[in-house]
Amino acid sequence: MDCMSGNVYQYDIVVVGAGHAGCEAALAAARMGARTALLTDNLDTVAQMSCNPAIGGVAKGQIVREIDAMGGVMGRAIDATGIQFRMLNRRKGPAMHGPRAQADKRAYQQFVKHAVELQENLALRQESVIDLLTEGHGGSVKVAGVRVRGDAEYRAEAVVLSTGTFMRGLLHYGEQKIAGGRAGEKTTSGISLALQRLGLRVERFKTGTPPRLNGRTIDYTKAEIQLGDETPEPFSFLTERIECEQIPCWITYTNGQVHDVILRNLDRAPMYTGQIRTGGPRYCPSVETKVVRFSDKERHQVFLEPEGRDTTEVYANGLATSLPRDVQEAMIRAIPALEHAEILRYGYAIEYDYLPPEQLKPSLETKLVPGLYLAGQVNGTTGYEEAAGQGLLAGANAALKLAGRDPVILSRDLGYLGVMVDDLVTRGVVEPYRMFTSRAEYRLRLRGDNADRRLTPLAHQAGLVDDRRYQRVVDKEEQIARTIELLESTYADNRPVANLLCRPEKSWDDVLARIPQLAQLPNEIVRQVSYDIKYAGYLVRENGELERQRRLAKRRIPETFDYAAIDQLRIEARERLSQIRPSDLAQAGRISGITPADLAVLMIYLDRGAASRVVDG
Amino acid sequence: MLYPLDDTIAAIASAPGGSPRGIVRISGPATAACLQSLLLPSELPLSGRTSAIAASIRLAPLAPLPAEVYCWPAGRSYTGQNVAELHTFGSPPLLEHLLEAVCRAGARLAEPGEFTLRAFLAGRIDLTQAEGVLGTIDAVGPHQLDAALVQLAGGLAEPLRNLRESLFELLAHLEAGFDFADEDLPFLDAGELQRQLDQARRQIERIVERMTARRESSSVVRVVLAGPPNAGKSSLFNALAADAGALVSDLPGTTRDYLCADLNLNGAACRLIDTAGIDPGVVSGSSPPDRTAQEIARQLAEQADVLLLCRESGGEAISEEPPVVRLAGGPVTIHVCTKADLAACRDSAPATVVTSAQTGEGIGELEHRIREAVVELSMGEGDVVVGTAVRCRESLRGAAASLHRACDLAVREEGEELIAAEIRTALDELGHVVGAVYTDDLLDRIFSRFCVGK
Repeated sequence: MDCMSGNVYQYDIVVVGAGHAGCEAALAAARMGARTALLTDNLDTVAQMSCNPAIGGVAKGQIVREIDAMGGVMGRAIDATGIQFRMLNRRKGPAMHGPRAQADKRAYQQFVKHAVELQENLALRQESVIDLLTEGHGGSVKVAGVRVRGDAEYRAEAVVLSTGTFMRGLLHYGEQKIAGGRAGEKTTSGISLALQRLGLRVERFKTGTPPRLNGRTIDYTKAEIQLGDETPEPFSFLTERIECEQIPCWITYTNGQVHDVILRNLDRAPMYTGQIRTGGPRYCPSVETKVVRFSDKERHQVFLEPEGRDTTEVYANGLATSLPRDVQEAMIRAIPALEHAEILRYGYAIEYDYLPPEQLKPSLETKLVPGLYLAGQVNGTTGYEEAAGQGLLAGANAALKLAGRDPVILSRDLGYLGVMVDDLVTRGVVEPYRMFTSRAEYRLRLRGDNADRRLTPLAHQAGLVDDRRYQRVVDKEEQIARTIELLESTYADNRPVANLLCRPEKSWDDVLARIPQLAQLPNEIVRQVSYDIKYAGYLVRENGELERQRRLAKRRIPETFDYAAIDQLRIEARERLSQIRPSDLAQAGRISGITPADLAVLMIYLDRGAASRVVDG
Repeated sequence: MLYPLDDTIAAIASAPGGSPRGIVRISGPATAACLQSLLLPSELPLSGRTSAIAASIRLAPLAPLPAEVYCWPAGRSYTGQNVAELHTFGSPPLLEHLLEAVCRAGARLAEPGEFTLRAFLAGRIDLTQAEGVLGTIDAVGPHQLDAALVQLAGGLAEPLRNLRESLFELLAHLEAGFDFADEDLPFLDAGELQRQLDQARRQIERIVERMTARRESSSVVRVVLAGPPNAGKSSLFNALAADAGALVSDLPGTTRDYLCADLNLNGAACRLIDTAGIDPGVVSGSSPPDRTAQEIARQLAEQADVLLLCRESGGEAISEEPPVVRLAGGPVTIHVCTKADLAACRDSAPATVVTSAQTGEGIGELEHRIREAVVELSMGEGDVVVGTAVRCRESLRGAAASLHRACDLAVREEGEELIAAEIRTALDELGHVVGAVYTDDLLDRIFSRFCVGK
């Protein structure tokens, strides 16, 4: 191995934490040729699904496709280990389709761990990181590696921190508080302290998880069944088809009696007693929050999701709670189908440290400490998919930096990953950040089905995917372009045949009736062509705004720009801009609280700066 | 046009003409320096709080002038910068002199509306309000002034805000349906969706109507004298515009070109235009200048907002009945009989104004009728400042068109994401009018309205 002397190990990149972010980060860096170490407290919890046993969903499913298009493992892992596949929003247009799957939780972990083990250039190690190592002083400090328990050091030029909820994690079960990053596991404070020592801001978020039940004790006859799709659609562009026996999920509902139990015991809910003061997400709210905030609602859905094929453990999605054990039991008793259900693990809330992400560059490197990258829940996000996407980009960018190359920064019209990173570094977070399609202004072009066309060429350029995969996308793109050209240049009833596809009552069969030679076209090309044409008119209209944004993005703001000196800027605007330090006017305009008027002021100053330089020159 | 923003500007802020009090306003970083060089005492409190002090202005070679000085420190002022106002005697030459001295001390003359621009850029007022201020300054009649003041107070901002509000609600419904596909969210049926889209579209169209001016670019009402040659138009022109320069002659066709005079009829401003008479005889055989003048006359008559259709009292009645109601798009026509001192007016309809430029008969009544028409037209502008109307009309039409398409999509029950795209476009367009972004409030709305738990 790379052991130099005694207990000092030398790598190019060290990734701390082997969750969804850490695994993708380490895999990406290693794929690009960087010698990488992936350190985790516990080898048996690599890629663990700490919360619900599912991957994907609306917007999240699109992210999984993007990760896959850039060579990540998440899509292949869920395709191989899913136990129920459903395409959400199937009745809405193609841009809204979100693939979602229930995973066999243990199998999923095993798949990802195995992929990590098989990856060349990548060393997986069970180590507890207790401190960050840096070199230099003051303004020239940079990352140098990490120190682990047991008197050993991992030296590296770049460190990716993806520690999830493990930095000063605190679990709440009613009045009871237990230190831990996850039920039954330990926590770390050394990293938080090191980050603060380096001048980084650390804040607290909270999230929660519901109780897990023993399926043997659930009366499914009282619940509604929810089946998987008949023809499951794979997440990964590399998966031909999914052939597995699917397992159903079940739906039941809370009722007035459940709500009474909760309301009577609110004085024992940490969120309401003041025991937890930090902000939680508005989606996935705890059941007590739902009951209080939407008091007019008579019932709330509870999804009963199996955690695997070889277990009867069931995740009670919708019942996230921090109420004490006895209240959780009383609540469960009152829910149809769960009257006799046994709790295997109690629900709990967890508070943890995160770093407000406006401290990051768009490459996910911290502005303050060169070489230190952050990815996943430490950046104030929530969700496996969001974490994995950041991990992939952070790992890739760390490797690119070491190679002296420009980072991969995706624009908002290229991918949900681009939207997410830009939102994080430009706007910061006020609650754990989850992806929604409504966050993406160009979402009609960010379809899950075209992620490979959007991102694989870019990923290939960075060295994240191999030539073969790239060539496949190039060939596909050519075939799509040829077909569209044919449809536009072939006329029927004095109109291009392509126009047929803009009309909802027409189908591909109507096209074939006019151009029979297209019968040989592969289904995937038919689909891409149909969707492209369906949205073409809207994309053209979007282009105007996109062009405007691109022009603004060309107006770079010098890194040394002194916002404080512009007394015409509102004080709040000066503060926000100094904090975020946008790279261009487009990014400045996306900062929350920055008005078009503020932009106009900036533009005037930048113009004048350019003018005076010309004069000076 | 982009002005520099960090220099110091100054202007006379009181109304033109003599008045008991005159004001010079200064805004910018050199405000304190300007005051120090001009005032006794020279120490002025431009930090901390808004203040007013009595002081003397040193303005060589004059004796010290008593003045009140109002200071607003940066952050508390209208423009967001250091602002001061010097209040002294309202003598125009004195104020000019003072302004020059302020400029020598480090300020420059403000461009029109520049204080307002700075206020807008400092976030003190929104765009429609800024235009309200400019409209207040430029108002050419009491109605336009009313409109500007209404707009300044948020008269346009308010209905637009309400409209955006309801579109946000609708969008939040659709978006929640996309992003929380598995939740049991309240269902918005196709009929209700169509109804709300249609209602929003009609609201926008009403606002567009309110701001649709008959005259696209100019805010001055054009009053055009028309009628056959030698109908006494120029005499009437001279009588109406006491200082008019048109030659008056008894020879037919003296006014070959056209003449203008800006009138102020008791607060209602308009431009009076005298044309060459429209002579059916001028077809061929006339000199080219005649034909050109005739062409100009016809064009002017076509562009008129108010048409004074003149004929001699002794002449034949113009066959056409004077319209009681103005035709949509056409000018307000006032029928006038001239030269009432020479002959009695024959066959005149009751609405005809009988005048004599010689004796002054009917001139007052004519002025009254013109004023009525001008006021009516100014109200026809709606209660929106013209500058705003010009800027916003396209955005509003774009918004209405988007909602129209959204409605069509809803009727055909096509992709809701396309309906959402149209609503987003409409909100974008409305956002241009008031200046705002929407993704943030959209998510807030989803979470405040819906219980989403998965």
